[in-house]
Amino acid sequence: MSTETEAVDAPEPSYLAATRGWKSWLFSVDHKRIAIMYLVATTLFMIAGGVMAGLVRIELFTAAGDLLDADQYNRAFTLHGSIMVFLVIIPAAPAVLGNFVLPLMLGARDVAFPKLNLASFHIYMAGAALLLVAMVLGSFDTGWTFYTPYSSTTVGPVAWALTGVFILGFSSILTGLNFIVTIHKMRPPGMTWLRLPLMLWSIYATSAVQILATPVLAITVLLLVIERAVGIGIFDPTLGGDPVLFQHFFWFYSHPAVYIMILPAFGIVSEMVAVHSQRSIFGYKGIAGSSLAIAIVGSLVWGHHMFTSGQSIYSSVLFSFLTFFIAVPTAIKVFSWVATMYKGRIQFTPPMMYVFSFLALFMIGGLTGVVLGALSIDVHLHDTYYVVAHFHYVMMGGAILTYIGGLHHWWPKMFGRMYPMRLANITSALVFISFNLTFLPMFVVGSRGMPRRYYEYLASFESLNQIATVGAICLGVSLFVTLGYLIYGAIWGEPASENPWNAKSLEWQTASPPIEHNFHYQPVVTGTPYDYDGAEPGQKVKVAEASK
Amino acid sequence: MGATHHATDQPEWVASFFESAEQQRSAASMGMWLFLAQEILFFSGLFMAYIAYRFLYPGTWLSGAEVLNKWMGAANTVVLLTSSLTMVLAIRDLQLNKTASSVRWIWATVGLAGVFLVVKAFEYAHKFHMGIFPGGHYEGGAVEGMAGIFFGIYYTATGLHALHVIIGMGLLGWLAVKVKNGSVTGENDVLAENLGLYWHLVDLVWIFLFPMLYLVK
Amino acid sequence: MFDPRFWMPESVNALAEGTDTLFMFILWVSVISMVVVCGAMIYLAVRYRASADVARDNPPRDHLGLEVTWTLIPTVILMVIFYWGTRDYVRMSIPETDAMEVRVMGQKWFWTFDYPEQGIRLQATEELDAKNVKEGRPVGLVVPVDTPVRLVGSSNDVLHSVFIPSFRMKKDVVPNRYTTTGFRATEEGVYDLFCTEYCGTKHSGMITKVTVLSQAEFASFVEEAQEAAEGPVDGATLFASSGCAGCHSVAGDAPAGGIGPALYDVFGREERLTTGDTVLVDENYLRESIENPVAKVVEGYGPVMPSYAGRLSEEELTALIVYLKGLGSDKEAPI
Repeated sequence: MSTETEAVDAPEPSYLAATRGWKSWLFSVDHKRIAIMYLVATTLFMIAGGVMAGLVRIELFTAAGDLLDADQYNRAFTLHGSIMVFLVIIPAAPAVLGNFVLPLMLGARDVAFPKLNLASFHIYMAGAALLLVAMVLGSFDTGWTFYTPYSSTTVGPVAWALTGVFILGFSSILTGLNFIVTIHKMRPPGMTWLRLPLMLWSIYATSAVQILATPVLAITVLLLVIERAVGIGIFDPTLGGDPVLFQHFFWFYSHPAVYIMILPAFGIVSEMVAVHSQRSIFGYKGIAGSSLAIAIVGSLVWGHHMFTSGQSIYSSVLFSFLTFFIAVPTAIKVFSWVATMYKGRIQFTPPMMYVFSFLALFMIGGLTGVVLGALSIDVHLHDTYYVVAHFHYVMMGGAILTYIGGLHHWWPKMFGRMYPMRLANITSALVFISFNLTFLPMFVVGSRGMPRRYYEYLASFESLNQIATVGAICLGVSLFVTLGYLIYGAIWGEPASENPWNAKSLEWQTASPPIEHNFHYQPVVTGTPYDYDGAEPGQKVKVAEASK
Repeated sequence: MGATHHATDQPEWVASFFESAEQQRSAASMGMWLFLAQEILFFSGLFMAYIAYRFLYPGTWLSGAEVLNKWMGAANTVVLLTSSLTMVLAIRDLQLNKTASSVRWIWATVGLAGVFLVVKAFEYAHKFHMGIFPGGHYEGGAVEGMAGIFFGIYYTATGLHALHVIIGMGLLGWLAVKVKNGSVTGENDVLAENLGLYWHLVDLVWIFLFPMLYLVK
Repeated sequence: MFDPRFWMPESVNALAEGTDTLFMFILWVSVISMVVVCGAMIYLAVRYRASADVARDNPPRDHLGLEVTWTLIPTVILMVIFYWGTRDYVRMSIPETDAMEVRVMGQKWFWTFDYPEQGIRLQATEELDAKNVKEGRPVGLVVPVDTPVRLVGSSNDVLHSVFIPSFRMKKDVVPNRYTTTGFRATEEGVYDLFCTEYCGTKHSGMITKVTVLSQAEFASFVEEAQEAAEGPVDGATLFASSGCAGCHSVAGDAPAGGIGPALYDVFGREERLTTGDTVLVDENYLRESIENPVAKVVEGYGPVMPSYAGRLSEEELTALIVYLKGLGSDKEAPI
């Protein structure tokens, strides 16, 4: 399509400019372009999910039901949850940032299976399209958890939504498979396991969970689709089926899914805290190892969603015990990130602001998780707004806001331009404040007894709900400002240099934005990606000239 | 292309982003193993449902298995095991560069898969005739207790397995064409090996399903 | 914030004694952790800001002693919390042996409480609760103070969950199986009871009260209820107490739509079904629709009504049908 002639020795065009036309995007196998397509898609879905959240919050401004009717409200929170979990948080960090930086950090030209990578994206869009069909057909009111027998008996296009989730699961599995093989097989000479950037350890652990847990979700939703279609009875109590078995199946996936969401955030924070403190990460092995420990133990704690479901006391005790073990590796990470700042050279850049925000929010999310892990207290707090607040601190404060922080970190690499930094710093503070304004009151209203998924509630809960709604509006506005200046930066911002943050990992040692093939020469790695102090001679990642 | 660090002495079937044929081969092979791992987990969900309900309704399971035709199941087991053998022979001949014989073995595998499906179809038809439908539609009467769930699991598990057999037949047919036209060779045989692995997995799942469903006693 | 009453209503369940203390213990642990970690973060951010002129030689990459310490201390604290929470949970989960039994049945969107020892049944629908409040009668689940109570729960349709915040008690009720929990109320009073397992349109309306009476008051309450149960069955009361009114309007000016068809002047009406057939609303159709509601569903509605087969006696069924017949004919139906 492009007929412009280029001088023979002109610099190679960036991946953004290499080819043109919508087909060159939609059918591109370049991991960077696929990442950008995921970025656009997940952002649009995040706006859609956010609008649903807005409807829910505005409805809850008063104790009585007024803006929506009960069924509309139920559909709104179901869509909010389904969109945010399946279309935004699960794919966002791995498929956007993972896709973009993984081959670059490895010094590779692409992932191991570029066509499969593109297929993952198309499958993702197909799954999203099915959810959209379900929305157009009147939407569904099952909650994103699809608990039986409600989900197998309620009217509406539930099967469309479930099929969408099934297909989205495949996209997730194939992405994870691709990344694991890439990390195993595409490392350049000298990139030993202990020289991997921590982002890659996180993605590795995430991918492992994606491969191991997602198939169980696939069979679960498939069984539910079959249940709705022909009534095989597996989850239907009137035919002898056990609805609690569905919960076991569902959480066997969906609890590890929490780690699919948060593990990439751990990686992003590890990179950002080291680079913006300008020193080597503290406790590399502890952080890397704890990612794997979380992935493994995290697969064994699903029953802590079911302490009041009627599962046996022994199961509950065991699941509670394992749940507390998850907290240990998580604590190790937090301490290591804080210790990384010691003797650093801390830059108050937007990514660092997001690190501060993450540490505070994730601490609250994690500590309230300890409260919920304690069996006797969970009986009181289960399915109240306390749980809602807890998982928003982890999923939104931990995963989404850190993903946004990661976008700030890699934005100059992705688009070769810088966003307005001062505005970004101010907005990140506004996001932090309004986030807390939204979700802190929910802890209180929840422990006082307000159940989740309530359309109307007791008048005594009203004032705290009003604070939360005001906070949510501020949060929405702050996030729209963020979106605005990021887009502005990508198009009209100051051109960014190859390595604006003085980072040491490989992705910063090629052009911004990178050329289509990432590197001119095969990189040779002789050190860690966090070598700031030069304590060990020769421990520096460098791009070696190829022999020719 | 500008400057590239792709070594130029690679065979043309090595993709440009791989450094060597060996790297491409081991990547493809690892990818397949991971895919098989998730396949096993996919089926393990059904196995767990099977175990849970077998404990809950042991009588139903015993009498349900009585209704299934052991001989047809056993025959199908032999058919699938033989097809795994023909698949192995196809790959061996491919690696020995006996292309024509390799293609024949692949088609033999596809043919055996077809036999499996025909037997399966007879089994299904017989059961529908007896009024044995899954779940709430069950009207067979011969089985005590929660027969609907037993046959719900039976139809879902064998149906999903049959779907894998059908997909496998398509993939193997595609492989036969590729071997014949020389785009899969003894040198570049990773596609054949991977499809062989997939086929063994399909076989393996049946090796589990057969005793679980047919031989409860 | 450091007063348990800021977080939770007063606990009046003897079995849940330790819960609030543990909650406050974890709260303190959390606050201290937050202060330590965020304090360290702020201190380090200020001290080692890029522009500061401080010694930065030999920044440590790891420190075994420090890392072991910050692994072990949380482990020990977490194990204490685990033990504490588990001990209290087991005590709450194993009801006292001589407990009074109450069978809880959840159904969209009301509760039924059966007292097998007393032979009485209490219903908690929105309409009945409002009526009880107006007449100054005990509302919802009625139990005596200082008496161990065992709740045996089940559901008639989808999952529900009994949640009594003041008792720190919650248990899902599941169709076709029984779940048990228990409590011993220590204070007379009226407390909230919520459904906490999402169950559809009126999930948030599936709330009622727990009324804790003195033992003497409870005894006389039971006596009255037993007498009332022996009296004649009134269809209108039954309609309100069986949860029918939750979905079916009986007002003459009810708008079309809603969860179930409006029943004003329903008798003798021709209804179009989802199958396209029509049906005449007579006694048999009404009876079938109560006992097997999904058999013939009126067009525009979903097959969502649970079956009442076995839940209503022959006498009650008749009373209900007589009541439905009388709707819209502006004359009181004979009993």
